[in-house]
Formats: sequence, C-alpha cells, structure tokens
Amino acid sequence: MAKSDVKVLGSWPSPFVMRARIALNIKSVNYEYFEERLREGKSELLLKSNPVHKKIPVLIHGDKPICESLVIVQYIDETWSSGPSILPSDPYERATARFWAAYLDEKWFPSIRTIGMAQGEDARKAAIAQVEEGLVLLEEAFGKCSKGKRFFGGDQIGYLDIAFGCFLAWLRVTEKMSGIKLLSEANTPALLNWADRFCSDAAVKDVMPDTEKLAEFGKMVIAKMRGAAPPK
Amino acid sequence: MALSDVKVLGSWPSPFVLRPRIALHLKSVNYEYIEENLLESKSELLLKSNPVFKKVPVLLHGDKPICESLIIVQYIDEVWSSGPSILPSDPYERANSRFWAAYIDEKWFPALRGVLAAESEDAKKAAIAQVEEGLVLLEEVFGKLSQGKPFFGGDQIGYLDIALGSFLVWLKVIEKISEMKLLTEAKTRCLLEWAHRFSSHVAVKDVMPEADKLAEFGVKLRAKILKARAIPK
Repeated sequence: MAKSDVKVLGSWPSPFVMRARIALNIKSVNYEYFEERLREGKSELLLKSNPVHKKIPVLIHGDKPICESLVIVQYIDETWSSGPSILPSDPYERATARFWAAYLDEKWFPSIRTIGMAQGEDARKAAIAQVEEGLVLLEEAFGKCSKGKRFFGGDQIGYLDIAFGCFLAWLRVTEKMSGIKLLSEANTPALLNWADRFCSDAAVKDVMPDTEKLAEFGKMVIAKMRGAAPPK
Repeated sequence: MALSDVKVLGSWPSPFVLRPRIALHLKSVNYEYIEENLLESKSELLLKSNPVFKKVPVLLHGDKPICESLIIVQYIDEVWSSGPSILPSDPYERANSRFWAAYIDEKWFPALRGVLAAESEDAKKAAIAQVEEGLVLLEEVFGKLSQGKPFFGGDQIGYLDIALGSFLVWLKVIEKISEMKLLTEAKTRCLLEWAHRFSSHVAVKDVMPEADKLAEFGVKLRAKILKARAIPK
C-alpha cells in the first residue's frame, strides 16, 4: 500500500492521536503523519476532514476520513484484519473492553484534567481522590481481563491497553506536577508493571511523548487557560 | 433459550433502554424486562450489575452484565449473529455509524436535554437552535447513508436508526415544550418520513413510550433537575 494512502492528522501531546498511531503500528501499516500546529489555528485539511468536531486525530484512508479515536482504532482493526487482532474475539470480552474504554474517556481522563485545573486545595484533593478511585477499579479490571497475562488484551496489546495506555504520559506529568504517585506498588501493583511494559512496547515507544516535554507543554496550557478564563 | 436467560433492566422513560430492547426484538430474542423506578432509589440488582455507573439499561445474559446502551447493542449484534445484522458489514460504513451515534449521544442529546432543563428563555432558545442544527446535519447524513432506502441501515433498521430513533418520543415532548416543530417538511423532510417509518416498525412500536405519558414525566424530571441545581454546594 502506498505510504500516502494512509494519513494521520495529529498533535504530539494528544493521547487520542497516539491511539490511532499505536493501532497502525500493531498492524504494520505505513502511514504519513501530519502534525497540526493547533496554536496557529486548524489546517484546511483538518477542517475539511472533520467538519463536525474539528478535532484530531483524523485517519484519512485514501479519500475517506475517519474521526474519533476509538472509532478509528476499530476501523483499523476491521480493515487490516490479517494483522494481529486489536479487539478480543469473544463478544463479552469485546463488550468489557469497550465499557472500560468508555469509562476512561467519560469519567477517568476528565478527572485527570481536573487535577491540573483545580482551584484550591480542596478541589485538588477531590480530583486526586477521583483519579485514585478510578485506578483501583482499573487495577481490578486488569486482573479480570489479562487473566495472568501481560496486557489487558492478553499476550499482545489490545483495545483497552491502547485506550488506557495512551494516557500514561499525561498521568506521569500529573504525578510530577502534583508530587503524588497515582500508580503505586501499594494500590496498583499490576498496573504499575503493565505501564512499563506498555510504554516500552515496540508499537508504542516511538509515539509516546517525552514526559519532560509534555510537562512543559502542560504548564503552558494551564497558564493559558487560567489567564484566558473569564469569570462566569 | 429460557426466558430468564436474557434480562433487561430498564426504565420506561429512558431512550437508552429502548436501544437494547429494539435490538433484541430485531434478533427475535425473548427476554425478561425488569422495570427500575428512576425517581425512587436504585434496586439491589441494578447496583450489583452496574456498580460503576449505577445506570440503566443493563443487559443480563446468563450471569454476565453488559452496560452502556451502544455497547449492549453491539454485543447483541455479535452474539446473535445469525439474526439480521445491526451494524453494517463494511468497515467504513461501520465507522460512520459509530461516529454519528457518538455525535448523537455526546452533542445532540445534551442539547435536547438542555431544552428540558433550561432555566431561562435565552438558554432554551440556544438549546433549541443546537437541536435544530444537529437535525439538519443528520438529515444530510441520512441522505448519504440510506442511499435512497428507508433506513440509515438501508432496507432494515440498523445501528444508527436505533441510536437516533430511540430519542423520537423525547423529541416530540421537546417540540411540545418549545411549542415548535423541530422535525419539519421544510428542513428535515427525509428525517420526518423516516421518523414515522421507524416509530411504526414492529421492533419499535411496542416499546416506545406514549408521548403524553412521557410529557408528564418530563415535567416531573424538569422540576427535579431545577431543584437539584438550586441546592447550594
């Protein structure tokens, strides 16, 4: 397949963009990566490919745009079906993987972002407590899904590994900035080990952003949002 | 399959609960329906089956609970694979169906709910405008996906028909509250016709709530929402 036949529009700090890239790597699909300079305004190509949400990632396959990171991952899994499977084959395991991915996007990741944006010590503590509660739930989910194997997906990285693992860089930045270990030997030993395995996997390591670089970016985003936010 | 092998925990006003019920009907799967009263406290069974979100619908298949309406619909499609397909078979069409279902849940439905819960005339107008914008988008989507056929899914009801169609009675209630037609001949002719077809479909008509009954419930729900907002945090 010609390299330019598959494109990903992305932005390096975005965990959602990582999902598409990891999935393509798992399937050994060559693709062209376009970095959106979101601070300079959105590109023509992005606005044309994702007119509804105007967000990255967008996968462009031939002339077909596919949007929304988890929709993209499933598309990749179904299109390049001869590669390693990303979703489990059993319907109940698929439903479980999808459930936890939805939980991560709707509840858990927003609570991570809340830590950074929290005004006041009480708000910060409440946000941290929410994240930690979520991680305990996910530790239990890991036990059930992995069944003693290395990943949520079993022997290989799967859908839920991708859905969760893409947030690890931001999790590490949050730990750094808040001075608290969110993944710990005490509370989440299995996830702690899984995190290292995930980050060093061949399909992941080259697309995971550097924690230092991301921390600097994070500080800048927070400063901008605090400075820009008008009183409501 | 024994009747009690498949259960749906639901609540009659919930549009999300309609989704698994329609899907099970399409697959001709018998199931036991268990009504939760959402205005009262949650049952043991619900809290045990969905400890994370504590919400309906929940599908219980044997001893396995499956939560989140669209995840349930996909599960039903994959388990009862000999029945008519709910998701399209082509990966790009599947991606489109999933994309628009996500849009409906994440953007369009909150606007619809926003009309019900609006505290001021301005807020209500803004929410109505958002609902209308969304319907115009979805009218275009219908044109592309149906390709001249009766449903988003083609000849038969599919994933996106279920995702959007489950909101049709609430849409009627909102039309009543806002005193205007949101699905119209002028702007959303195809959707208007599709709505009739969907609502009268054999897999749908017996599980759709009655508009008058839902409107009464809507008044109670609105009062509950506004009261909860008034409580100082």
